[in-house]
Amino acid sequence: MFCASTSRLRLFCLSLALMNGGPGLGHCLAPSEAGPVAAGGRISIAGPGQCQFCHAQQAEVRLSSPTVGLAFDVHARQGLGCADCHGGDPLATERDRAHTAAAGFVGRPDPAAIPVLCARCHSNPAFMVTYNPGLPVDQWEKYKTSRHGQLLEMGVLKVAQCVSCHTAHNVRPAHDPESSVSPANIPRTCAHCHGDSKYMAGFGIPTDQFDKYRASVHGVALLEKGNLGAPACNGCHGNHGAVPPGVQSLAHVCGVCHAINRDMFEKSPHAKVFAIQEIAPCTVCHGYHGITPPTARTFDMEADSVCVTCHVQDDAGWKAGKAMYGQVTELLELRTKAETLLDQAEMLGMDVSDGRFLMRDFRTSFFQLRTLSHELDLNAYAAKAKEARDQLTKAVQVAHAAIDEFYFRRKGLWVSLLLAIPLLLLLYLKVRALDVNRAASGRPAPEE
Amino acid sequence: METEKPDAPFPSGTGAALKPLTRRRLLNFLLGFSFIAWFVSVCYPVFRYLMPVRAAEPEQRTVKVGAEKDFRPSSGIIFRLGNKPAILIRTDSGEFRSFIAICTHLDCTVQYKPDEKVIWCACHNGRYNLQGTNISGPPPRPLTPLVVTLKGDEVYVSLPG
Amino acid sequence: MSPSPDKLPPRPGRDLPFERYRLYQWLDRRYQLGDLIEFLREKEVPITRMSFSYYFGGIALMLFGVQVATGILLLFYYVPSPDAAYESVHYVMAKVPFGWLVRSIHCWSANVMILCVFIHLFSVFFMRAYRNPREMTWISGCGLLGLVLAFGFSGYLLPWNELSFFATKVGTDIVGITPVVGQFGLKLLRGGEDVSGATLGRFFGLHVAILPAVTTSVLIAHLVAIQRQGMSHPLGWLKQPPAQRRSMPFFPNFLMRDLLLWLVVLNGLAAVAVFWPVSLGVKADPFASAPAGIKPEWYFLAAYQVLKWLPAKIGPIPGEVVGVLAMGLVALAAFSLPFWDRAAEGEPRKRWLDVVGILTVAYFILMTGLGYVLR
Repeated sequence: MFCASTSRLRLFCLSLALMNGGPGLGHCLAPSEAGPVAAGGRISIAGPGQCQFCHAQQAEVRLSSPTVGLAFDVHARQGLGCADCHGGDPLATERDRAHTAAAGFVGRPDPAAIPVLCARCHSNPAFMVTYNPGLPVDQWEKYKTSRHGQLLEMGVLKVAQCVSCHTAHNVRPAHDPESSVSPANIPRTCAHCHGDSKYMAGFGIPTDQFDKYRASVHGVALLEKGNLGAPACNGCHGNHGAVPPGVQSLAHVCGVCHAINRDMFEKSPHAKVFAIQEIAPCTVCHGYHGITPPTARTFDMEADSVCVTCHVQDDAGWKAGKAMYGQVTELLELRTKAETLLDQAEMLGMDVSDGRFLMRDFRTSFFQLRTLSHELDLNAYAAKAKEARDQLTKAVQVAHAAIDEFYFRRKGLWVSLLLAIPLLLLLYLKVRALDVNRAASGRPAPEE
Repeated sequence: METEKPDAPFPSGTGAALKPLTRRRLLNFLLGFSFIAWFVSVCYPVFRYLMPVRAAEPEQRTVKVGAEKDFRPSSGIIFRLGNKPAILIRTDSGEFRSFIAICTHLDCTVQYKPDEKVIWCACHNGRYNLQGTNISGPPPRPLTPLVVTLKGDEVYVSLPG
Repeated sequence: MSPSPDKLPPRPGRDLPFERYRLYQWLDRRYQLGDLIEFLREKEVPITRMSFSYYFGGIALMLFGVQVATGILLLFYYVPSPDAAYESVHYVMAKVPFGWLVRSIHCWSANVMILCVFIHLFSVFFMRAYRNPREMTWISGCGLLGLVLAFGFSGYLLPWNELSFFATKVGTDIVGITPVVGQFGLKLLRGGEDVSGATLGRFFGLHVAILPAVTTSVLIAHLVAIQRQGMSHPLGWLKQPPAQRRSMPFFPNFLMRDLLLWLVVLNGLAAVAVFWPVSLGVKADPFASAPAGIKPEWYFLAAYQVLKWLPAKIGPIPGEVVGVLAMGLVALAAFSLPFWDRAAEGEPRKRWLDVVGILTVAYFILMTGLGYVLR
C-alpha cells in the first residue's frame, strides 16, 4: 500500500502482491493519499516479510514487543504485514534499507491518523467482504460521533483511538476470551485510562467507574460468574460510538434487557414527570456504574430513601411507597416463617415436598411483585402481593400439618401401648397362673 | 395338667346357672379380649396402608392431565409432574406439546401466551417457541421436553426415557 | 351333657384346652394329631441361670415373621427400578397411611433380628448346644446367619439412596478381592462391572424371592431338628442329681413366656419406629463421588474396619486378600465347630473354647465400636 510512486517500485509491489497471493492486481496507494480507496479500486497487501525477525531480537522492549502477539494477531494471520501499516521495505534485511522513506516508511503512526489508517480497509465493504463478511464496516463513522472521536478531531491526542482498545499488534476477535475487547476484558480495557485519575486529570469526569462496576450486579455477573448476558461498558455506552446515554435514552438503554421493567415504568406516573423534569429514569434509583441488588428499602420512605428527594411526608407518592414497602416486609417475614417451619418439619423427618413446591410458586410471584413496583399501580401490586401471601400461607399450612402429624404419631403410639400394656400384664399373670397350676399338680414350680 | 374340672363345651340347655366365674376363666376371658383388642389395633394400620391413596402415583413419571376434549386449540395449562411444574400446550393444529415449565434462566414458572403463541416467562421476559427453543430474552437453553401420549381420549404426560 | 360320639373320654390330667373344640376333633380324625401332641407335650426346657438366653432364637423367629409381613406390605408399593425405587420408598414414607411405620419397623426389626441371631449363636456356643447330636442344627443355624446377613446386605440397596449405593459398591468391592472367584462373584452380584439398575434388579430378586425361599427351608429344617431332638441340656444342669434338676414344659409355660417377650419386642419396635424413624436420605447419583465417611451397616463394620487396617501387603500377598481369606477361614471354623469339638452333649466343657468365644465376642464388639468412632 505504501509504495513509492516510481514505476519500478510499483512493479516490485505488484510482484510482491502476486507472490503473496494478494487479492488481485491493482495499484498501490501513495503515502500522501488519505481516506478509503476510491470505489472500484482494490487494495493489495504487501505481506509479513522480514521485519519481525530483526525486531524480535531487539533489547529495547518498545521495539521487540510488537512481535510477541503476532502468532495470534488476526491481521497477521490473514497475511497483513508490518509494511502495510508502517510502510518501508518488508523484504530488506538491513535497517537502513528497510526503514527508508523512499519505501514509504512511516514508522510509528501519528495517533490522530490511526482511525483513518484502519478505516482504509475497515470502512471498505467490498474489501472487508473478502476477508470477513460478518464484520460491520461502520466503525469509523460511529467513532466520529463518539466523544473520543470528537476530541480527537479537536486535536486532543490523549483520547482512545482504534489501537487503544484493540491493541496494535495483538488484535483478536471479540469472541476470543484473550482479546482485549472480549466482554469480560472490556471493563479493564476501558479502565486503563478511565480508571487512572492522573491520566484523566483535566477531563473533568470521575475515574471510579471500574471500581464501582466491579462491585455492581452487572460486574459481578460478568466478571465473577462469567454471565455474558450482563453488560460491560459497551453494553450501555456503545462500542465505537461511545457516549454516555442521555437522560431521554436511559430507560430505553436499560430496557434492552430489562424490558418488563421498562414497559411498567412507561405506564407509571413517574414516566411523564421524569421526562418533564429531566430526571434520569432507572439510574436515579438504581445508580449506573455501581448498581446494587434492589431491595424494597429503596422505597421505605426513610431519610436515606431516594423517594423523599421529591416526595414529602403523607403525599400520594409517599403513601404509595409506604404501602408497597409494608406489603413486601410482611411477605418477607411470612417467607422466613414458612421456611423455618418447613425446615423444622424436615428435621423431624416429615416430608414437605408439597410445601417446597409452593415456595417455588411463591418465588415466581415475588419476582413479579418486585418488578411491579415500577408500575406504581397499587391495585395490581396488592393483588400480586395477595397471590404471594396465599402461596406462603398454604406452605405454612403444609408445614404445620406435617409437624402435627409427627406429634399425632406419638399420640397414636400411646394409644396402641394403652392397649398393649394390659395385654402384657394379663399375659404375665397367665404365665404365673400356669406355673402355679403346675406346682399344684405336683411338678416342681419353675422359678426364674 | 389343670386340676380343675374341664368345662363342658356349651352351657347346659336346662337354664341352669352359667359356669362359675373362676379366676382362671376371668383371666382367660380378659386375656382373649385384650389380645383381640390389641390385634385389631395392629390390623387397623395394615388395613389403612393397603387401601389405595387418593394422592398421585408413587413414580411421578407419568401423569394423567385430563380428557382430550377439555383442551381447546391454542391453549396451555400448568400441572404438576412429581415435584416439578410442567406445561401442556395444544397448538392451533390440535397437536399436544409438553415441557417442564421451569425457565432455564432463573427457575421461574413459565406460561403460555396465547396472543403471541409463545411460551413466556413473566420474570424477565424470556420467550420460547412452541418447540421449547429459547428465542428471546435471557434464557440460555431450551425447555426440557416431555412425552405426550393419548390413551383413548385421555392425555398423559410422562418423563422421556 | 352327653359327649359327642367321636369325643374321647376325658383323661385326668391330660385333657388339653383345645381338644374340646370341634375343629380340633375334625383335624384329629383326619391327621391323627394325637401322637404329635403327645410328643410335643413332653418337651421340657431346663431352668438354669442362663435360661433367659433360650428366648433369643424365638425372638429371631418372631422378627423373621415381622420382616416377612412388613416386607410383603412394602412390596405392594415398591418399584425395583433406579428411576422409581427412591420415589416409591419416598411415597411409602410420605403418602401411604402408616407407610412410615411399616418401613421403620422393617428397618429396625432387621437390625434387631441380626443382633438376636448373633446373641443366639453365641449363647448356643457357650452352652455347647451344638454338640453331638445337634451338629446339623448348628450348621443350619450358621447358614441362617449367613442368609440373614445376605438379607441385610441386599435389602439395604433397595431404597437406592446415596448411602446404600456406595455401601453396596464398597461391599461388592470386598467380594471382588477374593482370589480366583472374586471378580466373577463381583460381576454376578452387580450384574455388570458397576453398581447399576442391574444390581438393583438382582438384589431385589434375591431379597424378596430367593433368600426368603432358602431361609424358610433352612429355618424349617432348623426348627424341626430342635423340636425332634428337644432342648439341649446344659452341663451344669446335667451335673445336678435328677431330683434337683428344674425344668418347665415347653407347652404352655415356656411358650407363654415366649409370647409375652415377643409382644414386648413388637411394641418396643413400634415405639422405636415412632421415636427414631428411619430416614431416606438423598437419591443415589452414580456419577457423584462417594460422600465422606461412608460406612457399611453395623453388622459389617467389624469386617470393614479390619480390612481398612490391614497393611497394603503382607509378604507377597495384598493385605486385603489376606483379610478376606482370614474371614473365610473364620467362617469355615464356625461352620465346622461340631466337627472339631467332637464331644457329645454332657461331656466336659473344654474351657479353652470359652476363651476363644469370649475373645471373638470382644473382638467383634471392639472392631464394631472402632468402626463407628473412627473416620
